[in-house]
Amino acid sequence: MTTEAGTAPETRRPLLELTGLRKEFGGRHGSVAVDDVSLTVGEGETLALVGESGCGKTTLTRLLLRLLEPTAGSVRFDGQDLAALAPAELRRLRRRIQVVLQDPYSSMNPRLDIAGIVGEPMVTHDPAARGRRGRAYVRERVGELLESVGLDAGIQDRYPHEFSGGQRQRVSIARALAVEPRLIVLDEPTSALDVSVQARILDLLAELQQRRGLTYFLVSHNLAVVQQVADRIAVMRQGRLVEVGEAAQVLRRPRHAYTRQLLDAVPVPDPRRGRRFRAAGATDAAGVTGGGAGAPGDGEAGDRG
Amino acid sequence: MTTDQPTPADRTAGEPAAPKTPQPLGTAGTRRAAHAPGGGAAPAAEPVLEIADLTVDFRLDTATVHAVRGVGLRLAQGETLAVVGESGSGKTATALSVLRLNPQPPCVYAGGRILFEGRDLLTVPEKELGRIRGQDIAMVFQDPMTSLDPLRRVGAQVAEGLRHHQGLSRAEAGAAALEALDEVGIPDPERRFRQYPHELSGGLRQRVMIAAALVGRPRVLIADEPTTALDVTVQRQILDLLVTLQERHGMAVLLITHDLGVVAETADRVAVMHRGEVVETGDVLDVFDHPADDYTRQLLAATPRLELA
Repeated sequence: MTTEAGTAPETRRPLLELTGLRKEFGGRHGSVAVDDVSLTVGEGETLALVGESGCGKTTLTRLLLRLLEPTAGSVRFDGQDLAALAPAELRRLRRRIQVVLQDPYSSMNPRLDIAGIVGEPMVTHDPAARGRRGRAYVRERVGELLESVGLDAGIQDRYPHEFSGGQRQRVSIARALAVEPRLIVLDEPTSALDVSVQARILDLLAELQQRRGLTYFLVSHNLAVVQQVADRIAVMRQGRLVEVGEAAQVLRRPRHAYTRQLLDAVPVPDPRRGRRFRAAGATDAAGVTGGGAGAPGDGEAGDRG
Repeated sequence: MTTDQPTPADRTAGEPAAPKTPQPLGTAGTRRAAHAPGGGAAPAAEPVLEIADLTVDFRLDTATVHAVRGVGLRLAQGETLAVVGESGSGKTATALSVLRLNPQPPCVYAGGRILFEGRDLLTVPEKELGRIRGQDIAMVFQDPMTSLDPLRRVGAQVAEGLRHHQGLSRAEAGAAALEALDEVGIPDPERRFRQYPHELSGGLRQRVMIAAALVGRPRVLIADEPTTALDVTVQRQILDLLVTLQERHGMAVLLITHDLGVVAETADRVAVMHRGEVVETGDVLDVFDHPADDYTRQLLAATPRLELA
């Protein structure tokens, strides 16, 4: 998860290859949500997909999970074209790609206990988890998984509502690990969490990646989080990738104007760049109090529906 | 709001004296400096809003949650005071108390005073508070979609306060509302005036909320996570807009946020809340440079920073 020390993407074996992906949503007022996206994610790296709401990042994520059929283009995982697989083969391959979603409150069945939640993917994908001996096998494995994400193995009989947001996100991570995936899609995994909890979850993800050689496809709008964990960054806007590159490169020397705009907009936790200092320094000249009053940029101005 | 609190037993037994402490500075057992250097003192100007020793309880079936425990805040004319904290810290319960907007029951205002123009807002009759709400003290919430009425046109919603509070005619209030939409930077305000909230993007909706809040020229604006639901480039524009309007109209702003970046960019002073108490208050520079409280230090350390140099 380090930026500069990591292997260059060219030398990594490609695990996920998106080629010319396109997704149109139909109807008379049809729109193109994903437009000619090509992207490679190497084994063991963390690629961060960054963009604002409506840019198509969720659609792209669903395409690579094959929860949506692309209008054009292909998704290859470990050299296999997902579209060419028979349903049974696709099911076998699915266990290698797991997801951790933003909201740990709504991504768990409230009526399943923790053992049921973490064990469910095992029952689906692993024959040893079924049948008479299955239960003991699942409990043992779930216990190990819970410990590997920093939880007590003894919480298996408890229910999601008994846990805090950070603990629930750990349960989600344990569930994703249950079937030994190679790629984990992390969809805004810390956006719903407080900052102190967020930092610990990011540390856990880094540790798991190192120990298990995982590949992460991280979707995030938070550039500070992305900087902490990403090897490479892909910036998406209006369905297209406007910039892809090494994380340090994209953050420090962005080539696209939109990337620069995103970086400039991030609030900086340094009061010397804040209101009073801007006001005292260049009140009139910088247009802080000018008549423009911050007219909406194109991210905001659009009509809806 | 209360998820990260310890168990009810801990809360009730742990600090029975907390609501009565005149200056609640931090949880028991926390080592701390005697005061926040230079910043902890009250602002020089006469406060426009003063919260003293506020105690807010939520009486649930099985337990009482002490959401706010003896909070004191002073908001001076024209300044921005940011209240920062994590979920469950009591920051929103404090903000909602100013206009008595916490749901009652289960909420009980168990103690303290909120002084505005010589009156205690915790005890003024509901009718009198109704005149203050939206007129003298206005509020902007996190989610503009749920705070706007989906069935009414935008213009009418901005004009509503003027008709209600100042008795303006439909035409007069409409003209003022149109001007307010223009002032908050909404392009083509005549067209937007006649539209419904669903026809606007999130950023435009939040501009409408700000127009509705400020059209009556309140002395105090309470903004509860006003940019949390917005994209980062839109957030930047809304924060700039709030600062611009504040400088133009001179209102005091009580800004509730979880984001220290937003605090640094907009606030004059900051109050850090943790488990229902203000653990530290001070000038933004002092608090960021020399945090006196352990929790403030932890919060600052956990805040991810974009290092671009």
